[in-house]
Amino acid sequence: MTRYVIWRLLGAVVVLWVVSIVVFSLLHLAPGDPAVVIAGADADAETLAAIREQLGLDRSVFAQYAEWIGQLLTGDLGTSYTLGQPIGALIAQRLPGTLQLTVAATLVMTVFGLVAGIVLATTRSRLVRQAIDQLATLCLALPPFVSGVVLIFLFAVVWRVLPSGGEASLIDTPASGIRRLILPAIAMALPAIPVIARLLATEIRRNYDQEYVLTALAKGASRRRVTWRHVLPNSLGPAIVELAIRVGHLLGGAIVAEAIFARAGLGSLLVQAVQTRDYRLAQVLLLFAIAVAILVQLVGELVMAAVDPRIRLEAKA
Amino acid sequence: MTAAPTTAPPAATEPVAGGLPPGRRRSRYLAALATPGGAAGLTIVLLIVVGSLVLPYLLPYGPYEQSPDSLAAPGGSHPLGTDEVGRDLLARVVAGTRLDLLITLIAVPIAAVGGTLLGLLSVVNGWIGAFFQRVFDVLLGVPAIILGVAVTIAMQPGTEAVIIAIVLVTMPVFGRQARSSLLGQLPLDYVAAAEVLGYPKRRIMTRHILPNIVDVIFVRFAVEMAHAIMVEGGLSVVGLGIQSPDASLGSMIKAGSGNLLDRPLYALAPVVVVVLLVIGYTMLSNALNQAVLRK
Repeated sequence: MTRYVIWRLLGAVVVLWVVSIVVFSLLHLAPGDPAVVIAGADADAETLAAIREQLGLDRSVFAQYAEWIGQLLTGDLGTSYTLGQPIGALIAQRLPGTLQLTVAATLVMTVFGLVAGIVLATTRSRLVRQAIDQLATLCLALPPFVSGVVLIFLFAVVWRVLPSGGEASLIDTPASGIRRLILPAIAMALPAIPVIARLLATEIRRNYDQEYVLTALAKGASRRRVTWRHVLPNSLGPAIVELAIRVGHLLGGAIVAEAIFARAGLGSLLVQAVQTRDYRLAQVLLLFAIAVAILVQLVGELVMAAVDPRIRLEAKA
Repeated sequence: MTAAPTTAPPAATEPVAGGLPPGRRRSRYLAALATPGGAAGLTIVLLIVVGSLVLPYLLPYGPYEQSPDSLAAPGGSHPLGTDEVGRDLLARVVAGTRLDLLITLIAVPIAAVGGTLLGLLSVVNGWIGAFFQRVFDVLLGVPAIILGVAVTIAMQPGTEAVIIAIVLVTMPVFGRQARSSLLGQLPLDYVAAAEVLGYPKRRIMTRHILPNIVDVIFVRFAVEMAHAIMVEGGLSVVGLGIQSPDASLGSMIKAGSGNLLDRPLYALAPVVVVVLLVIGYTMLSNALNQAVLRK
């Protein structure tokens, strides 16, 4: 297991390093002088010189990258060009909003995904199965920017039971804070629920056909016990990995949810950074979002390997 | 080892893969489209495509035509009302739909061909193959919207950026699919038979194996058309996709979501088109999938 973990960690570090190079190069991929791209075509020479100086554009690309990555590794994220604040402070300020959203959406997709999956696999009612199946197909057709608008329209405009957006502190005003989390969390979780449910249902059905189920039943275990104690733990693997991938992607999903629900978070900060051509800020946030996606996925795979020894054995071979 | 025959032997004696001549394959697709789900999916998609092409000639206003009547209520000559600068919303939904269809019809075929070729390359050549598989792994591990944002850092937001974002998001999917499908074909008897007959590797790949994975790529294509619509929508909704004055489904949803209280149709009309398109493509791909499995 140790060897497997080290191997996977090394792989993740290499990938992150390559990603950092790509993210850094984005500015230089843009045609033309980066300073002009940042300041706009009508900027005067003084502004351009200031930008070049500030970004170190007068040195070689390699030197610029080396300095940037060196600063990042020592915890210095740099300063936002447009907001004039340290990027670290900006992230600390915006992180809670996005984190709340991510946790809430994860809760929704886990609970509904597991329940729907178990029901789908164990129900004998054709009607229930088909209803869940149709609902799942519909959910898959609802990306967050679509379901978000529909949810706001239904719950904030037609029925007026939930606020249409914004955020409130969970500590000072917990009720209001939670009420504002409900709709965006559902919007973000919806497309993931059917995927998790179907993965789980397929695994549960596959496991029911295994001989150990027959053995357990023959030894007198009740159906309920076999389902919960034997089949379910053995069926969680693919659903856990999918869940980890989805959680890693939630930071991306937060960009859309924060835009639709007018919430302040890392997503809206990233959009603002790109729109104002604040490259240092955009690069750090982009790298952060990608790093989280890669690391969360890695954790999911490691959990999977811890649960299922066959995976780490396979990797060793 | 004899050289490959310069003239192709008659098709019947060649170990043709999977056994289905093109005619049978075509009839299988037609049968898939005749199933209730396939017919419904095809109808939805075709109606939207034809509507977006024909309606601009029938509507009284163009998508960029402004009038002093800003945010007018639906009714009269503006069935959906008007936007902030008095442009007819129906005309803009139609124009937005057309732009979405155009963008996806440019981006997804590029991604499909490119991804399939890279997948093929990865099976033929170990080195290049391994490289692109790693690239695909990373791209697949990054949320689509983040990739889109990365593209808009390197270039100005707009139609081209959205197309490139969709290609970046979609190509790895096809690459993975092509590779795993190709690898699945390699151990089959007809490949061994072709090898025994002395055909060069490239001929076996392109003439024998590739036709057999076309079906799977086709099914994927319909799914990815739906995903591409979502990528455009997501990017435009956050403000990094299609820029004003151009209209796309996503940019209209963004503009309309601020007016949900007074003018719900502003955002809901493009939402309905997105949902219908995605459901249409999904039904099509499900029907095609059934047809592929049934062989």
